Amino acid sequence: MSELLQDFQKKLIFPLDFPSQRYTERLQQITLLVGAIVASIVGLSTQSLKNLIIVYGISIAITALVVLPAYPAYTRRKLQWVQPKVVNISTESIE
Amino acid sequence: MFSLSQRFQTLGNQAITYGLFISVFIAITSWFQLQSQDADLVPSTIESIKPSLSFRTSRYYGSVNGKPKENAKITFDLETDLTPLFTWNTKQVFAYLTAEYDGKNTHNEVVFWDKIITSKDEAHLKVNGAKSKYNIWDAQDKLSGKELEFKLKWNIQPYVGPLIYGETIGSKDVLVQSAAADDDNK
Repeated sequence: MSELLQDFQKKLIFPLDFPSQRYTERLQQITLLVGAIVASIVGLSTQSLKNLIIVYGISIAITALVVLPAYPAYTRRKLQWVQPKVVNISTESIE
Repeated sequence: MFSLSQRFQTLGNQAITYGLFISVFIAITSWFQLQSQDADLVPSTIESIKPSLSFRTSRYYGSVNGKPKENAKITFDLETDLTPLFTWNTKQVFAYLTAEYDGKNTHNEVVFWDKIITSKDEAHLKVNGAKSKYNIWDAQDKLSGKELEFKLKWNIQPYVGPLIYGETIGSKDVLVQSAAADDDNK
């Protein structure tokens, strides 16, 4: 049962490749900042805190949609590890 | 930013951080809005204040050892328009009618009446012949013979930011007649 859970946890990691990690982080900062500024302006101009919270909430939801899931475009550039050159080592030779 | 949970955490942190900046922005802009609406210059008229005194022997009315304590009540007229106190950040306004007077060694302030105003539509106050909500007695001595200075003060309770206190312009001085003199008038 616990092995099953561990397998399940490993599947929940949803890793991104390195360039996409950098890209999503920057994208998240920009969209949240723009969302906060737009929400403040909308709230101030309509004189309503409710509108401000709605606009900011929408901007957070959009950011989450863009940043959180591991889209195929974010996982394409996996690191290429160096391939081992020696393939077969017989155990007898070490002994 | 490697795993889903890391991405979720950084997103949440950043959203809350910007939320704090937004709330500071709200508090500052609403303060400037109050200034531009001249919230400190709201006029008020307090008229025809009639104090009446009674003696209470309950310790819930300030009596000590069964000695009768002078309790004061008033009736009054009040008119003011508190709409300049309402901004996009005002949750409610607490308006209270206070009286200031000098004690033996102290300067005292007592509240006779108050009202909670929750919307801009109710902000125009006009009461005639209203009775004070509270019985007032002096902790040291007695109220009769004291000169009370009545003022309407307000307290803005905002959604975000600190409480803001202030008072309206307009005050009224009333001398409290002693109970004996009051009886003579009757």
